[in-house]
This record gives sequence, C-alpha cells and structure tokens, in this order.
Amino acid sequence: MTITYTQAVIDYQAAGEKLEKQHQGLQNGIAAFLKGAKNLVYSSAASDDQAKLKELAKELQ
Amino acid sequence: MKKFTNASIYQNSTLKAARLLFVTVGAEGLKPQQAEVKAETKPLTPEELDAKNKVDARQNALKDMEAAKGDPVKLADAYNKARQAQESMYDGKNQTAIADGAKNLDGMLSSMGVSKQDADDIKAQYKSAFEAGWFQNSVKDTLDKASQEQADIVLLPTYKEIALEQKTAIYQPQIDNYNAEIGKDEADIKLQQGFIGGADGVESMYSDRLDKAQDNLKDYLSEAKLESSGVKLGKEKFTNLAKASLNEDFPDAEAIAKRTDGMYQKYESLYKAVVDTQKDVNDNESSKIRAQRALDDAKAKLVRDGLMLRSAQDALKGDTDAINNGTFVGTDGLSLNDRALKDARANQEDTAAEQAVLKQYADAMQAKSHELIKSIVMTRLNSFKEQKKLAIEAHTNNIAEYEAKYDKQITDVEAQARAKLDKWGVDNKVAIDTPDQIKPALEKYVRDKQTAKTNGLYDVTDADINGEVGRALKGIDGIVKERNGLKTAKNNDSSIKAEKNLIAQAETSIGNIERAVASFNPVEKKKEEVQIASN
Repeated sequence: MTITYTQAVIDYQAAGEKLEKQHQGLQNGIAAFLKGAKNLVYSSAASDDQAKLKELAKELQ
Repeated sequence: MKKFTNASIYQNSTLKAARLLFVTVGAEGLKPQQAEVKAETKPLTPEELDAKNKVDARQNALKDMEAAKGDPVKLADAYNKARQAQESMYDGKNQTAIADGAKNLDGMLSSMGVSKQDADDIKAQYKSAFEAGWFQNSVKDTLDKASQEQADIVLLPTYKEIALEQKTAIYQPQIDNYNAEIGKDEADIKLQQGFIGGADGVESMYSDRLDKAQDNLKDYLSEAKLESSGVKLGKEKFTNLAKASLNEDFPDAEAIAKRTDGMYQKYESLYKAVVDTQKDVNDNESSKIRAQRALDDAKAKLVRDGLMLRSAQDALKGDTDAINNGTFVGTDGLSLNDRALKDARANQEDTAAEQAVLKQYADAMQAKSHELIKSIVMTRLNSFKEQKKLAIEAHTNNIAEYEAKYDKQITDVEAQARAKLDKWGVDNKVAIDTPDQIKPALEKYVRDKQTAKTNGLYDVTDADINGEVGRALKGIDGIVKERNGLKTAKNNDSSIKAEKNLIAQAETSIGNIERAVASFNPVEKKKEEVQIASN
C-alpha cells in the first residue's frame, strides 16, 4: 500500500490529536480515581462502605 | 499485585533548554557580530518538557517525511517510524501519568495510615481500572460526539426549511420590488442575481453541513463500536478482579461488579440509541427531499425572474445600441428607462380591463365588418345587375342584326315582285300576294303588249293572253313563296332564339338581385347573402 506525502502528514496529525485526547481522558480518570480512593479511605465505618463505593462507581462513570 | 516502581520517569529527564537572549548593543541597532549571546540554564517543568517533546517529535517526523517525498518506499518507512514514535511518546506519557498517579496514591495512602493490605487492594483496583480503559473515557466522548451529530442531523433539515422561508420572506419581496422596475439599470439586475446566488449559497451551506454530519456520525459509530468492545473486555477483567477481592474489607465488591456491568449496559444503550438515530436520519431523507423540492421550485421561479429581467436587459441594450447607431427615434419625449418602465407597467394592466377593451374592439370590428360586408354585397349585386342589363342589350342588338338581314332579303324579294307589278301597271296598294287583284291589270298589260306587237292587224286571242298572264302570275307566286320562306326562316332562326333565351335568363337574374337587395341583413343572414352575391 502506497501513501502520498500529503496524506501521510494528514494521518500523522490526526493520529496525534487522537492520542492527545486519549491521554487527557486518562489523566481525568486518574484524578477521579484518586478522589474516590481518598473518600473511600476516609470512611472507616463498614456501614458507609457501600455508599462510598457507589460514589466511587459514580466517579468512574 | 504488581507495584509501580517507575513512578518518576520524567525526573530522569533533566534536559536543559538554552534560551537565547539577544541584547542590542549601541545606538546603531542590532548587529549580529556584536550581539552578546547569553545562555541561561533552567530546568523545564514537566508541562514544558512535554510540550517541547511534542513539538520536536512533530517537527522531526514532518522533516523526515518531507525528505522522503517522491519516494513511496522511503515515505512509507518514514511515515511508519513517525507513527511508531508518536505512539511510543504517548505511551510514555500515559505510563508517566499512571506512575504519577500511583506515586500520589502511595503518598496519599501512606499519609492516611492505610494498612499495606488495604493499600495493595486499592492500588489493584487502580491498575485494573486502567487496564479496563475506564480512565480514558474515550467511548463516552465518542458517543457524546455521535449524539451531537445526531442532534444536528435531526435539526439541519429544519434549518434548511427556515432558510427557505427566509429566502421567501426576505429575498422574494426585494426581487418583486425590483421586478416592478425592470430595466431600471444594470446594477439592479446584478443585485437581483446576487439574491439568487445568496439563496443558493444558503441552501448549499446547509446541504454540505448535513452531508458532513452524516459522514461524522458514521465515523463515530464505527469508532464507538471498536471502543465498546474494549470496554467489554475491561469490564470482564474488572468484574473478575472484584470477585477475587471479595473479602471482609470489601463486602460489597459483588455490588461493584454488578454496577460496572450496569455501566456497560448503559454504554450499549447509548450505542443502540446512536444506531436508531441513523435510522431516523434515513427517515428524515423524505423531509429533506420535500425541502429540496420546495427549494427547486423557488429556485426555478428565481431563474424565471432572472430570465425576465435578462430579457428586459437585452431590450434596454438594444435601445442603447440603436441610440449609439443613430437609428433610434423617440417621438414621445420619454427616456429609454421611462419608456421601458411605462411599457412594463402597460403589460401589467389588469386582465379584466384588457378583456373589456378587447371586447369593445371586437364589437366595433364586428359592426364594422358587417357594414363592410353589406357594402361589398351591395356593390357586387349592383354590378351584377348592370352586367345583366348590358348583356340584355347586347343580346337585343344581336337579334336586331340577325332580323335585319332577313328583312333586307325579304325587302329585296318584295321589290323584285313590286317592280314586275309596276311594269304591269298594278296599283301600288295591291299586295304582291293577291293574284286576283293583280290579274286585271296584268291582263290589260298583256293585251296591250300583244296588240302592239301585231299592230292591230288581227285580234289577240284570249288563249294567248291567258297563257302569258298565267306564266306571269306564276312568277309572282314564286317570288311571294320566297319571301314567305324568308319570313319563316327569320322566325325559326336558332341564333335569334338563343339570344332571346339569354335575355330571359338575364331578366330572371335581375329579378333575383332586386329581391336580394330588398331583403339583405348583414347580421343574421351574412352567409346567405354572401352566397347570393357569389352566384
């Protein structure tokens, strides 16, 4: 399969934009997880675990 | 559980960037050889380093590909290397972010006094969630974009209809206004053509946007489908992990697993909604076609208006050429524009008024035509009558001519008989065809002639006299018979009879003509009279 120079540049730039967006999504997810984990740890009561886990699940969404 | 030990990848990257500071020296301005270059070394922040790496990588990749331009093999190789380098760079960035997250998590858990077992479990959840792809949220982003395109696809046809309404409400009145002043000047014509072009542009813009939205939706659907399969794989891993982690500390791990399954179901529902949207898009094709048809109609009307305007423009150009050529003659004192405007308004007269005028004209023409027909018919009838009179006169003359010939012959014959009777001494009053009255005078004549012939020497016998008288009377009788034959021939002559018949026919025609003239009515019996006149 051959590729033209113009098409190569376009594809390369489009792939870069997609990777960048994925990376941003990853960072947002990590931040959400840390926040949920922190909330989970702060909750010591067993009765609160389910609610915190729900919050964690909500964060993950 | 595996621990993350490469949490400080970027800390090993201690690149220093040289920042050049150009300092102008002296009042004569910048001189390169006099510029003092000062190198300032300062550690880059992680964000600055990331930005620099991205720029450098991109420039290098583009430079390599440009160098390989024209050589498909080298270009493909440069492209593949650039893509690999790009993916490797972002993989490195992701790993760095994950490591940073793990480091922060470690620090956070440590500062909060979490036990090692709990910390390991939480970190296991962290890693599993990353492997499942939850953090990237790419599926959700893609589906959100697809939903936006879905909304656009539903709304764009409506936008097109709104544009059409605007075209009708805004452009059309202006076009009508300019149509009322056709031929005003060339600028008006160009303005109207601009309206038409503008309306076409609006339609084209929404059509292009609709096509693009549909293409985007297809792309997003394809992308969402692929990513959804990745999510499903991650869900299985996360569920298995949750089940394995089921212990006293996390009694609700099973609930988490169920919830994650619900999350996946939600994504699947979203995906299904997008697929349904595509069906709606297909359904919207019919309304799009209707909008297109309405647009075509409006466009056709605009084209017709444009053609009408163009005709007016051509007419104006023709008049202008006539003026330039010196062949245009204006007698009403109006300018070309005023005359064109006047003509345009005259052409727009109310139809009913035009019909009324036409009816009056038609009535006048009918009355006039009746008078004309009557005049023509009367002229022809009178002419025909005169021709018949002349024919009668000609036939009468012919008869007289024929009869005169017979009369002359009769007269000659009678003169011949009369000459004999005169010789015999018969009185002129005695008709030639009366032998009894002729005979006495004839007998005397014969007796005298015989006596003279004998000189009285002897008496003439009656026998001699009777014999000669008988012969003389027989001669006169022959002449009379000839005369009577001529009279008979005159009465029976075929030419004279033919002439008399023609006279009788002509007199009959004259009678017909006189009756036709007396009863002529050009309105009710027009055809009949014309037929009579043609006879």
